[in-house]
Amino acid sequence: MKKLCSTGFKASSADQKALSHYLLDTPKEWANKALKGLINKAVKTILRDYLEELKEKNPNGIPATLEKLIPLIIAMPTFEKYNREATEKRKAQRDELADNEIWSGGFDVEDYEFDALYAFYEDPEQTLIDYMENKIAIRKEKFVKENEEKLMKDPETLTIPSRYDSLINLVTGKQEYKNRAQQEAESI
Amino acid sequence: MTVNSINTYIVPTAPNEVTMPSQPAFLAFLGAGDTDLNVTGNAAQYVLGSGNNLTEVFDQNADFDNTTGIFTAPVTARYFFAHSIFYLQAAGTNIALTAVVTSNRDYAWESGGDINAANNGSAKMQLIVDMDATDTAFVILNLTGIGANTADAQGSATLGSYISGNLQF
Repeated sequence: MKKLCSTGFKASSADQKALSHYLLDTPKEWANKALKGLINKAVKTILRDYLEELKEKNPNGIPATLEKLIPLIIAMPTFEKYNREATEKRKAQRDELADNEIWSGGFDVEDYEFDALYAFYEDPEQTLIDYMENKIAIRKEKFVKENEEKLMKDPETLTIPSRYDSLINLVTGKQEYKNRAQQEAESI
Repeated sequence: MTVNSINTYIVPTAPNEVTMPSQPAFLAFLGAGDTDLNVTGNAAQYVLGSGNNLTEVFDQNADFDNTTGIFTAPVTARYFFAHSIFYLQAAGTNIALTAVVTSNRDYAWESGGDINAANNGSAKMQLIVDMDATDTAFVILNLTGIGANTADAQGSATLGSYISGNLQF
């Protein structure tokens, strides 16, 4: 077992409010699921590209477990690292200090998963960080867009904050505001 | 042939058909002999793929995990999903709920749990959803009214229980 992202990820309060407007998962749960997807992609792609070659080189048979297969493939002289990066790297608009640790403790992965990640991604930890930041950026944009439209229709609203964090705090600070978990709990 | 640094992503053939071998698209099903037993019936939530491994017909971009039934979006986009779950031993079902569960929201369909004379039924959905990069999606079945979680999700060679999806735009 190995550890990834033990240095964590810091988000602002407004970042977390925007996420909880859409997600039932905590940011760490979301990132853990994303990490499992990254691992799956790495393992499947490596097997797709190199398993036949491994079989040709081992005519008497190959191991039946990923724990043994992945290190064997990566050790082949013909294996080339993929050096993939995150496909998207949006940066969130952020005025508040990002000082809330949302990945406390990092993520545990199996040894072969760790090897597959480092064979497939140029920097797996940075890749996961980029995807988390990208997710926050998208959700903050969506939150602002959705709520700007509502505020424009609200006769009691005289001014709309220009900055994302101010608008998020204004909306989530209203007495009647409920995030997704609260809305779903109420609808049961 | 159109390529980037990683993939050949649009491939025209001589007669001008076009294939996109790297475009995210997958189909997987619960195969014959892989019926998941006693998974719902008393409001237990069953995730297709959480029991026996799904049989993968194709997974073009390695985004689907057939050991969990979870799809991970490789890019922020709109994705199409279609699924069906054929359930067995469902006498007494009064609600059959199935849903596509994505990171940002759930998409649910509910019926009165119609079953045939053999006490079997099916729940199915298809729709286009928005997903952000590395968001996840899976499908669930939740039957109530049986009094115990004794209904099964059928595995079969004819794809009674399956999940399929692709990147739309």
